[in-house]
Amino acid sequence: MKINSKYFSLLEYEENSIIYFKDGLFGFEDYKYYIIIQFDENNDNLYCIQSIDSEDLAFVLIKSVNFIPDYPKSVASYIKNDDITDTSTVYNICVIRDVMSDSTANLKCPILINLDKNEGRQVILENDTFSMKFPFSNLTQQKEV
Amino acid sequence: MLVLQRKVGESIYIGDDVLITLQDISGDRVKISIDAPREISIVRKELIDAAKQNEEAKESKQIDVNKLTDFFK
Repeated sequence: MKINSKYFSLLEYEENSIIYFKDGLFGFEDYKYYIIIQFDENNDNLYCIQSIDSEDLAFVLIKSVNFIPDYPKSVASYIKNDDITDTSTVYNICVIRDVMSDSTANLKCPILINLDKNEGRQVILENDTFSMKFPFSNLTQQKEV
Repeated sequence: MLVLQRKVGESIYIGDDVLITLQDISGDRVKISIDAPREISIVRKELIDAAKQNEEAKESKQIDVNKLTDFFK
């Protein structure tokens, strides 16, 4: 199947790669079907989540575990049910600025994907450790430590 | 900003028809009830914050994908 996408122009995808968000994303509750695409096949850090129903609705995602190894474990400890399994992948939505180091990742509201079920969910962590505007520059520093 | 103290079971009015009652306190959690007209929307603040943050992220329109991927190489 093909759609026009925000960051990749015409995008081809398989129907079985569609991920269903029962509750949508915060502020976009009506859009429930997305695909996740790697920006660069050699870079496992950055992905795009694209709505298949609205060309303009797409977000840049970062795989924070690559920078903060304990992050998924921390997320799991703040989620009350067992949405996170071994097959779940955790991503964070980014705000991209012209100066890349000023860009931020929303670590407080991760997106959890269960690849077995092709289901996703965005949650709000009930803690103050992770900010909604975690600077990219801090992420890269974490990696160096 | 007004800050006031209430005991469990006590209430405050906001305007004429919004009544907030402190129901229970347990550890760091406070249970409150809100009695308000149907047309007044009541939303947890973090949901609004999360929606605003997503909205801002959606506005990242023209991104330089090479610059982005290079930053995290």
